[in-house]
Amino acid sequence: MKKSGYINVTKDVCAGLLIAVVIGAAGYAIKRVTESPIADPLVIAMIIGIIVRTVIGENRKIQPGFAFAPIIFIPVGIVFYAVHNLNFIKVLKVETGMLALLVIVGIVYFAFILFLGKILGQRKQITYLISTGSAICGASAIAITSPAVEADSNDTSISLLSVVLAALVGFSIILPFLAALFDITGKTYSLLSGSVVQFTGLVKATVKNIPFLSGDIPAEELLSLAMSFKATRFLGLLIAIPLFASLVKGKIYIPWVLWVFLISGLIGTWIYAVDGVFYSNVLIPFIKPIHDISWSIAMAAIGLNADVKELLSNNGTKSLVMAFAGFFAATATFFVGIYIMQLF
Amino acid sequence: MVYKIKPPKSSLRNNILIAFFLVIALGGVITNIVLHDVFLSAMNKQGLDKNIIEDVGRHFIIISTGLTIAGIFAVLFIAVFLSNTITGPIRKLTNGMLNIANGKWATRIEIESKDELGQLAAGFNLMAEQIENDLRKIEAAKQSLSKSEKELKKRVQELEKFYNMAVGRETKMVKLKKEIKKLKDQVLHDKHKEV
Repeated sequence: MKKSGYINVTKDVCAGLLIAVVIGAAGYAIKRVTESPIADPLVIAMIIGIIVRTVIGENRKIQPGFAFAPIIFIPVGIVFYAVHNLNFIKVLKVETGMLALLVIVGIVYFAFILFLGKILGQRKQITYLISTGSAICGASAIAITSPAVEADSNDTSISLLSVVLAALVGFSIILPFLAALFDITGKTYSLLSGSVVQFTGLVKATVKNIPFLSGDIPAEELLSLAMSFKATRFLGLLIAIPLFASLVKGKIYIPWVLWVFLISGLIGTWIYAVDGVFYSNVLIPFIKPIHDISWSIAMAAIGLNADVKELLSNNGTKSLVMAFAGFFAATATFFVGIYIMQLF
Repeated sequence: MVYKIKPPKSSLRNNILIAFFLVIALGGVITNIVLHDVFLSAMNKQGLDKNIIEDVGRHFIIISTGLTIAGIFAVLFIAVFLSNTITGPIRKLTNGMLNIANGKWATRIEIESKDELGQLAAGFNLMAEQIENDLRKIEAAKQSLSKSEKELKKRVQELEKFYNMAVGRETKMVKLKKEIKKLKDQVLHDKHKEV
């Protein structure tokens, strides 16, 4: 009897896992086919997951597989993501004044969203995920932080969808409008997108989609400038993860996620220092699909576990307000900082 | 005991706002991306001077994104107005029902709208009126019952009094009969002795 029960459980876990893997792979495939910087495989996989879950309804039999997928694929994604993105040498190349501005914008991003979360009575987990997702690196930051703050699938889905929406409106409407209105230079625009745009793909899209700005810096240089700013923001995770994990636990707590992230980042930095060409031409093209696919599967499973009714709850509305308000506050801070530094 | 209802987990107002916002924001995002691409390629095909393209492009972006932002605010404003026309009466109805649950039978709701919500409010008021009338009848019946009870009690008391009186008289009669019999016996006994 015991044996057959075990076999059933394994079968159910495998069924759920398989669905998550298929959806995750589909998300990644869509990204590869479209080659669009706007198409984030994590977001695509999660949205497909939510749609599938809404169509098939709650199936308790295969649910364990959906819960199991993030347990395996998030750590795998964190290892390869840190090797790829947590590069301490690249961060050292950012100018000190710019770094100070970036830190201030990041602090405002975090503080404003945390403050709003407090006054709106938002769930702690959602507040922490929106702040890391907005201030650091969108879906990836949410994927890394969610196990550290013990977020459930609904928290993760609500946070990710809010940040995605704020990012889409921000990159395609708000930033081009402000840039054209204030007639800022290409350099300032790339710094702005590197500082406030939530997703790495969207930072690229923002700079590629640059709206007729003054200044003669070539587009590749502007993109590299924006990406170096964006890379620096990943360091914020080293503070955000232990801080939020400790706030959730009510005591000083350093989750395993942080160690995995830090050690993998140090290994990546070391490989970059030893052989930069190997790192850029061989290692990165090899590991990027691994973390993209791993996290796409994890996000698909999170979407499959999410209840669409929760997304339409009051927490969903508050999350949207928080994500948008955080974006506006960070953008305003950037403009004030740039004005003070006379970079306009 | 005062009845209360837990605050809702989600609200119609928020759902309407989110729906409107999603439509306008995503519509704006797609339109701006597509228009920007179409506009840029059209300008380049014309072989216009770079400065002219930049100048016209900047104006184009200000107008297209500015209109989208204005559209978002306008749609949100309309959504707030629309949602208030739905959720306002619902909130009034909820409060009215709570008042009824807490015994405030005279509660009536004033909703002027002539739509289904107005009908619902009219139905609620009819129901409240019916309940109030029934309760008034019950109260009147209760009072009349209490009056009858008092009357009955008075009658019972009178009957008891009469009964006691009747029983007292009978006892007295028995006593008197016994006395008479005793006297009779005495007289008979005395007569015997004389004879």
